[in-house]
Amino acid sequence: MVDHIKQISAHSLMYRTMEWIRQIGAYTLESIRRMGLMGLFLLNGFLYCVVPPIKFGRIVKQIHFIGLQSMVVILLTGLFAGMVLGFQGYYSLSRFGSDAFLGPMVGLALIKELGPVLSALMVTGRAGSAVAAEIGIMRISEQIDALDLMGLNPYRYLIAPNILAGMISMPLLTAIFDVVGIFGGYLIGVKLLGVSSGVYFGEMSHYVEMADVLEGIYKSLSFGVIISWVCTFKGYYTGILTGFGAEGVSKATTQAVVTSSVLILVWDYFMTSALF
Amino acid sequence: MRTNRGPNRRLPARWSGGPAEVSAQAGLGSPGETRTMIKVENLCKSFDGHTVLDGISFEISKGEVVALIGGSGGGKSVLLKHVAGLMQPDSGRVVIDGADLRNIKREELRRLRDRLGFLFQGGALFDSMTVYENVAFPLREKSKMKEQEIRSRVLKELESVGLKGAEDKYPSQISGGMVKRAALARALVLDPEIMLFDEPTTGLDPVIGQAILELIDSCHKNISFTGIVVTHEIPRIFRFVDRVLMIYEGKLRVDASPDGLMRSDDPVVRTFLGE
Ligand SMILES: Nc1ncnc2c1ncn2[C@@H]1O[C@H](COP(=O)(O)OP(=O)(O)OP(=O)(O)O)[C@@H](O)[C@H]1O
Ligand SMILES: [Mg+2]
Repeated sequence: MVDHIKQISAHSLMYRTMEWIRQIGAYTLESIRRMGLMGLFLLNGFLYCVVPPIKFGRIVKQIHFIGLQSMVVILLTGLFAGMVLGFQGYYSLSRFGSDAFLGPMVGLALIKELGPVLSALMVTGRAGSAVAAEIGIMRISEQIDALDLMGLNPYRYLIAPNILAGMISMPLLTAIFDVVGIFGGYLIGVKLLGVSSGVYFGEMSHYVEMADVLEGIYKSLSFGVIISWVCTFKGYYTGILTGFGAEGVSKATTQAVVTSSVLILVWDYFMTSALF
Repeated sequence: MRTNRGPNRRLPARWSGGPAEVSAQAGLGSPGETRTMIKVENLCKSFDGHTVLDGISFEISKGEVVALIGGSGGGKSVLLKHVAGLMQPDSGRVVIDGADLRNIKREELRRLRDRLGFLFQGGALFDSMTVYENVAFPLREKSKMKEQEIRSRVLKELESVGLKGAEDKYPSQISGGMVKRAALARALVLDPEIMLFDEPTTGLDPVIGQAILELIDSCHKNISFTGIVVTHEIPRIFRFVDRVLMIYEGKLRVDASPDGLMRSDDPVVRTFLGE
């Protein structure tokens, strides 16, 4: 009797272990499949960025949406990020008596790191989520099927314009973020805390090099691709990967923002370590 | 009664207003010729283990208009999407005008779709565009017409579906029935050779519904498309179609002329006819 129970529980333990391993396997396979899907999606998107006919009207519209309409957010966050850097930098540096280096500190931090990353996160939240939701709604209301049926490739109409708009808008937005941030640092460091204006800008132009600026541009360019890639992907596969209806769209939007933000930070790490 | 289970069923020899007359009217092909335009063979499709289509086969000749009926959730829309190549079957195949959709080339598929019009059940109007822009969209993208010709064509099309005056409204600003009619105008604007209608009259009041059916009929007389009309309008649709297909539990239960269907003594059909 006892033996019998032992046998059964051993059997069920074995069964549960097998089930557990099976689930890990299934999950891994599914993840790899999705990564492949996302990779192919990006390749297709790039392909239609260069294969004519290119839909310039759509590109301009998306630049207006992703770029121009994000300006207010970028200006605000840039200003405050710069102001905070001004304070923090001043207090840290003045401990070593080197507050003359406030300019380069603010400049380097913004241009190399904070500018690209923060503006990418802001654009993800403001424009990326909307792009994912718009394409998701087009998917569940069969508008993408309708495009397809009219012989008009959805990649050409929806995906490529977003990728191009992201690649064009992000570096520009980042540049604006940097400029406003440096101005914010100037307001705090120079106007409030009394670093001399000549020292702030002089040291900055002395220590910030073209390579640093380029690093920022490369980063923002790749973030532009990441945002539009992830957000259009999540929108495009609404229903197929996330379920139908309003819930599917909201899921896709959330996933788009989370995935794109995480990817931005991870990719930032890799770029920084590669460009260091 | 005519039930269809096997893939090798022959077309009915005669149906009202058959393709011979129609194609002769439109000057297409020689009278009496019956070219198969849509052929569905043993089509199976299931979603997450739930079988929706379970071995459907039928053929539709050029110029023929067929009604597709069946219970709600029975797979009518799914079948229509397979015919348009929007969904891939688990097994079986769809052949459109001799081209097998399983191994069709991208370019060929594009050309095939240029000849195809599809009215989606939900309309699928582009909601970033006005009604006018929606109907003009296929013309702007696919034809070489000048803006002025496009304008007169679109306005004519909108008038024929009774949407005069609603050109500048967005899909979110008009009623469900109006969306349906705008979508119908968009589907018909390129004079397609094959028309797939997914419930063209659902959500319309009886008067407009009748008008829409007559519009479809007159379009058919003018351009003699080959068509499938998914509908719940039984028996009103019977006057407008050559044959009726009925899907029941994933299989094709009936493939008969409207008269044949009315005379059927299959209990499922009788229930469906409302008895
Ligand atoms: N993309 C999809 N993914 C999963 N299941 C689907 C999908 N499309 C349809 N189905 C399922 O297939 C079945 C048939 O759906 P379909 O839309 O073809 O019904 P229908 O006959 O058109 O019904 P109605 O008359 O209400 O329009 C439904 O059970 C539906 O849940
Ligand atoms: Mg349906």
